[in-house]
Amino acid sequence: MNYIKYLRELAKSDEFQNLYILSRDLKNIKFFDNDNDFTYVQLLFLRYLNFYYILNNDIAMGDVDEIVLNNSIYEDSYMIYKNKKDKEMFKNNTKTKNKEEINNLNTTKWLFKDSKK
Amino acid sequence: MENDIEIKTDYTDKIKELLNLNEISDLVKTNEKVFEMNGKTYRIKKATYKQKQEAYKKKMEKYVDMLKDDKYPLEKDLIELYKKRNIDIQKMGIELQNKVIRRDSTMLKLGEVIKNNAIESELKVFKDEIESMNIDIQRLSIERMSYLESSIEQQVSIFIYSYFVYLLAEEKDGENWKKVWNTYEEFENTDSPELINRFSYYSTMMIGDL
Repeated sequence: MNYIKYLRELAKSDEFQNLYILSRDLKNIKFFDNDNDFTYVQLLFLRYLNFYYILNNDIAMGDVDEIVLNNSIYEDSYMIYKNKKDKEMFKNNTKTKNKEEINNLNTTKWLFKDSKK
Repeated sequence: MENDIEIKTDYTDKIKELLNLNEISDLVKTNEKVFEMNGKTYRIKKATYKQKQEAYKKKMEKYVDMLKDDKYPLEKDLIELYKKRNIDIQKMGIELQNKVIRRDSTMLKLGEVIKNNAIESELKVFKDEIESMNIDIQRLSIERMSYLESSIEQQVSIFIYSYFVYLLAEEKDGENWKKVWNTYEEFENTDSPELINRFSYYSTMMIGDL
């Protein structure tokens, strides 16, 4: 049995996606009987819950069409592309920020007030 | 008549899918699995720190024991042996890596096309290509693994999975749980491969890659 297929199906389901959204605010929502010492399959499930949460968010924001949910290859391919773009953006932002910080060091920010006479 | 058979197969497939989904849902719920087989109740739980330590210790012992024995080859020795028979395992590995790189780059392209709202027929071309690449990668990976199966590295890897099954398998005894096999030798000589297969499947899902 290809358990990844079923694990994804579960994590993608409306039931678990709704629970996942609620669990971000309501801390008493539990996915598992155990609170710690998670198994490999439980950790994988949590990863897929987050994966589909991001995908659904992107669809809701209009970043991508619903067609992406048609099969796992579309889903994975879109996420690979998205992660690459996010990484590039983060890299560029950090570079610009660093440049700004260096420029800021070169300019004085002191405020000189006229002394009261 | 043919139509009836088709509906029946479709129905059976759906039931099977639902059962598989239930099985996974059950496995996700908790870090232990209880199941019945031949009128007995069995359990497997996630390995404790102590059990993991024991398994790794045994793994090392097994590795050193095999290393001392000249009849077991290391992967690098096997690769050299295969070379003499005109089978290039290293080349196979490079080919595998290149195939994975090509597949990932096709997925990246598909991701971009999805983002740019391409039509389904266009996406399907990419999907079919990726699926065929995946089959190819899987075939090559299995072929390469089977060539190296008798190496010390692969044997030790198989051993640790078996050892975990032996360590984690439990059987209900009244109100208590006891080990299914008292020694590893007893586990190796078991006449119930079905039970071992079932335990192996659950333990892999609990432990993951080692």
